[in-house]
Amino acid sequence: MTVTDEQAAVTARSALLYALYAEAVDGNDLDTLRHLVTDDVRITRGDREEPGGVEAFLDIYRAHIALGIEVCQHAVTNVIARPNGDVIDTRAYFQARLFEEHRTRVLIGEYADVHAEREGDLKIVHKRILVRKVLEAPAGVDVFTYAGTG
Amino acid sequence: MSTDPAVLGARSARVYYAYARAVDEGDLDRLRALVTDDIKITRGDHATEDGVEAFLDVYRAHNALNIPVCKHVVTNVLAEQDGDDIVTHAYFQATMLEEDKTRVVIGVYDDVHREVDGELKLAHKKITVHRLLQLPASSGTYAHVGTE
Repeated sequence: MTVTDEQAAVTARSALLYALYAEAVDGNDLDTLRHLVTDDVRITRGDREEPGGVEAFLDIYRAHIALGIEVCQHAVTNVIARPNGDVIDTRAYFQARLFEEHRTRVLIGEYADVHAEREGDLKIVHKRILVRKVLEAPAGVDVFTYAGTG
Repeated sequence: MSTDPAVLGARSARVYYAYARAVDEGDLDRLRALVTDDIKITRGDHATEDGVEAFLDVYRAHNALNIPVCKHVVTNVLAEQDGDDIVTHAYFQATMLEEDKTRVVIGVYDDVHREVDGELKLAHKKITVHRLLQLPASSGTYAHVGTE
């Protein structure tokens, strides 16, 4: 595969959309999530195609918020984006770090989202989430001594 | 300089990666080259420190910990123009592989970057740690596939 400036630019834009999505999910920001998706957004989790539309999409994140996870980080890496007609097919890796009161869960998986341009803005048309494994670890602590301050 | 957020994000990501590499390799000269003369650093609720030497003192202290292997992985970089500055936000996971334990530090950076003579530099390092995960020590050996 030849890596062109155009491919790099498309990938940088999709990586930005992934980062904005993760920031909104981790910050429980439903308004931003609503802004990041198309009116007819679809979401597929594993093999399960969820009901389409913005409110059904947001219901998933309402359920996520209801879990009351203390600290949550969806780290997104390895973004590849490729124009495909009117849309952009993307792939990415993610590691979701879920710090709860009594345990930590680290989810390892992939996104294969479809992005599309809407009025000059890149939006999520189809969110595809595939979790590969969940790593269970002890609870984290919120006390940290910065180097040189102890 | 482009104000396109995707381009800004890609440029700022390079600064983050260069910073992480310099920290993990304990390279103070490289760190010095990455920052502005009036660099500031803020860590958590600690008071902001000013100047290159105060900045480097933080990494001298980090080097003194003698962590055998340290990897600061920076992801989810967002960047936005704000006057002469570029205000950024990123996630980090610092994995500190020590002799008797492994520490995984999860947090965010909210750095300010600034263009100096055509080069993007770090003007204000802002570090907030959210959680520390304590794990067992790692194994020191790894057999690459096909080498056993």
